Amino acid sequence: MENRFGFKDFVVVVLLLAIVVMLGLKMKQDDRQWSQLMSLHTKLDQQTRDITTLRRSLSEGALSISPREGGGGVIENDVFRRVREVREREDYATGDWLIDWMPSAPPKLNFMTGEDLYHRYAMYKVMESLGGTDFETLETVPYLARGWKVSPDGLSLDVELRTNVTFSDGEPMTADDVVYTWMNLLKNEEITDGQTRAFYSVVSKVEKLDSYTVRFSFEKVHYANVDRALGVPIHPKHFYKRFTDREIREHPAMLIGTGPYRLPDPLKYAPGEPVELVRNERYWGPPGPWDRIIYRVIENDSATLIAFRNGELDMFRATPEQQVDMVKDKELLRTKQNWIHDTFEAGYYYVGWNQVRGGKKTVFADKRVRQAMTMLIDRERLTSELLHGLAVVADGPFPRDGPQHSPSVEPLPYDPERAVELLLEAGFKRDAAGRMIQPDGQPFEATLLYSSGSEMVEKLALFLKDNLARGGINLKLDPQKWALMLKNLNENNFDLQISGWGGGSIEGDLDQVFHSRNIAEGDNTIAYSNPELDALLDEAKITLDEDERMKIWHKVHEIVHEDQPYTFLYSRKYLLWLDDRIKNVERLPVFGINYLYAGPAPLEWYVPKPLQERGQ
Amino acid sequence: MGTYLLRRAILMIPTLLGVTIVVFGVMSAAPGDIAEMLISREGMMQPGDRAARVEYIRERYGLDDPAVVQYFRWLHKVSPIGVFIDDGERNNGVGVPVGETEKQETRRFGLKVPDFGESFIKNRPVLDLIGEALPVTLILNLISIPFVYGLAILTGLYSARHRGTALDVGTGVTMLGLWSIPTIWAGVLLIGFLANRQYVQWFPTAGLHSLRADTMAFLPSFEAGAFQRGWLLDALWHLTLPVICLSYGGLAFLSKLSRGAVLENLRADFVRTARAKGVPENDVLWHHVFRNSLLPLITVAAYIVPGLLAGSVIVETIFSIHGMGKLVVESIEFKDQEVVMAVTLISGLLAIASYLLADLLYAVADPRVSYE
Repeated sequence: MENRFGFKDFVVVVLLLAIVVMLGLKMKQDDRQWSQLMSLHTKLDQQTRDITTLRRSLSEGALSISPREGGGGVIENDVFRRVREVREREDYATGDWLIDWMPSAPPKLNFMTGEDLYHRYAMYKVMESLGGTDFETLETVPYLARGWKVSPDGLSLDVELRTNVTFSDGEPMTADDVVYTWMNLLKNEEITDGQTRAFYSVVSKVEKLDSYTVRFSFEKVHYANVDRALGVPIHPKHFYKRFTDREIREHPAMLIGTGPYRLPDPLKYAPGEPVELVRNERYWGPPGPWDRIIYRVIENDSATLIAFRNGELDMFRATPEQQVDMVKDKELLRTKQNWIHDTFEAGYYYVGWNQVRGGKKTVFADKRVRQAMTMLIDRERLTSELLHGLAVVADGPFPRDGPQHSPSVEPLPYDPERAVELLLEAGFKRDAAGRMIQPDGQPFEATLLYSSGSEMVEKLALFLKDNLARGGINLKLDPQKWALMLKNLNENNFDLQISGWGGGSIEGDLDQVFHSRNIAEGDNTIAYSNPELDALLDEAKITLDEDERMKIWHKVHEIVHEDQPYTFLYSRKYLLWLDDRIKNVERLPVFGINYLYAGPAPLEWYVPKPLQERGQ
Repeated sequence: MGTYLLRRAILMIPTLLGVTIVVFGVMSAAPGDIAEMLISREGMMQPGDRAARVEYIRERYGLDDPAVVQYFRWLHKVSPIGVFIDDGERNNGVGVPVGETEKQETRRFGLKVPDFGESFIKNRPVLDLIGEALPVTLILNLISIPFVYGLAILTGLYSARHRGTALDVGTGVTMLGLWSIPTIWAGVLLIGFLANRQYVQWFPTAGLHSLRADTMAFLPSFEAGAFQRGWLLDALWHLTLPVICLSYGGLAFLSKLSRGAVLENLRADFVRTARAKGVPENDVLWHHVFRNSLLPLITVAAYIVPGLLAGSVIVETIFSIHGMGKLVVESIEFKDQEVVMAVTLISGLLAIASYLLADLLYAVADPRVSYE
């Protein structure tokens, strides 16, 4: 008999392999059962502890049922003002799940090391800060704090904390946690990255005055000091001090806070998996409306739309192309609601005209030329045709409906004749062929620098080329990879460029982009210098009175409008689609909608009981 | 054989060195520096963000040094012999003390654990990142490879046997068609038609598990009168479309390859002899022709193993699966040096090992081949 490896042997080998695989799977199954058991165990433990504490408090008579007493009960104008009214409604109900999506997986979820935009979606549902923003009045209102007092010299801030705040594991929040968050976590070079640290460097020290009072000390006077100090989410000292700096730095999760939702296990997160938040049953404030909030990661645009159509997602933010198709879809409109809104978060796109190149003034150094350029660009047509009407023309760095916007500023009109007039005034000539000739005799030619890889920006560039051609200007296009473009911007090595700034805060500071001291090192890549503007910007920084400061911003806006260092193009609108069953979606100025993606705010949307779909 | 293996193993080292030098060189020579790493994925930054981040990254990772210095620093970190810091808490290796760092930790020289570094973009150890992405890619590929090979061999054999018939020609045309369909299009089509409420919703749209997968039992069952999928079936259900997308191109290629190999062997003399002897046709096919036709397939298999590592970016992006392909391409795009170098090293190692394995398998499959 030949000892050959025949078919029968093959079958035996396959069967053996199958058995091994089954054993492996069985072990995996056992593991999962084990972890389920353990989590049940922990839950039971926690509940027993809660009941014991309750029992003890009751027997000692220290517990009173009235919710308005005790330190930090109902503060009339705190961040929950609107939510309390919503909860009074007849059809208000808690329950159901909210399923949102992220187009890319956040590598880290916590505040210190999370660097992308999307981690904030989940993070701010789990963590809260000392102060929040009222959606209507735009004021900073008490959140975890009860109140605060700024010293007369503007260099220190005393904050009084609520006494009834607990973290999601039951431990109370005290001044120690606030101090730890700032001094041991936020300012720790080994943990927090340079960008975040630089942003909060205005706060030089945080110290504990007593168990529920802290004092912030600032380096210098700045109107944003208070907001920045109050805007940092508070981390629990008892949780973080168990870990080394390196572990905190490298861990993808470590998300635990005082908020209405929590990660089931603060240490468990695998980037790419959906982020699942469950309601914090121990929450100290009005309970969150949703049982669960889930963030799925779907990178592909069309897959996301299909998932939304299928009902696998409750929220969807459309691109302009998708929006145009979706509004024609009757089936979709039957079960979904569509909210097109402006928001300060959208920022703006602009054309930057470089005024100094290679040490010499360029043709754009004359403000008449810049004004002419703006009037040559048909921005209305840009927003209505290229962007399908889904953006609004920008006339400055401030949102139209915001308090910093000057009431007297309107966008410059599209007026090519007036533009040509201005150019002729500035010493240009038009030759027989219609070309614009510069004062030095050269034909007016310029190269537009923009980032390759975006279809939208490509269209913008071509649009610009066409518009400028009507003024006799030959625009050459130079798309570059982002990194190279940044390098050229930093070195002032360009004629004009298109890019955008994101909107980060409600009251934006123009220092970085327009102050002359930021030409060499900062983001003033167009070498714009106006001493009057510089002085106003410096003054605004230290003007703590809000009304006075707004007057300064109005003047700033007017100067920027007159000087046109940028031609402000547009701010895109957010194209929000929601499932119909979600109620209480409301339009608001500046915020746009009563939902904040990347900041701490109580949740106002809910699903009435009869419409709820998903269980616990 | 032993000396042959030893020789091949030693030759691995200069090859790997060469590969890493080339990759590192190209990355350093590419225009754009640390700025490339600063891009927030949405593209729009806030004024002032950049400067702080540049400073931080430069300082932390020593990116100001010339490329040569950076390369040798990386080489040293990754090599199993070198200088390491004995910080008392982790077992970094064994060696003799050679000095002290600023924080009074001993520096030692000896055998050490290779340190693959941290991703600049994600700020996490590279090994962690690879450890999360690799199993996903492996599962995808380990399922598609047997599937592809099995189907390809069967169709190839069948086509070769019935050469010239309508079925053979039809299969050939189908294979050509499959080979020509770009994966991007195929993936989007599959989702658009097979996972869409508007058409047929047979499969899920994205991801590897359902939302409630954690609470599912492992095996399918009948509970409360309804069929409960169970974790295992749920995972397989999610894997179906990605595996199809990943496999069809390879299937087409291998099928044609095996058809060619079988055809060649069917015309050989020893087959004629077997037939003349009276061996049944089936036996001829399976006992004689089949094994000889495997040789080109084995060679091709060697090239597939490195492909395992690279994963398929396209499939992973379309189906939102976080595997090696996405990791590598993202890292290259953002010039995330450490990740790219680590993956280069590991995939280089695996590629060389798989070529060696293929050569050895050759010797097993064909007794005429020997390495002495």
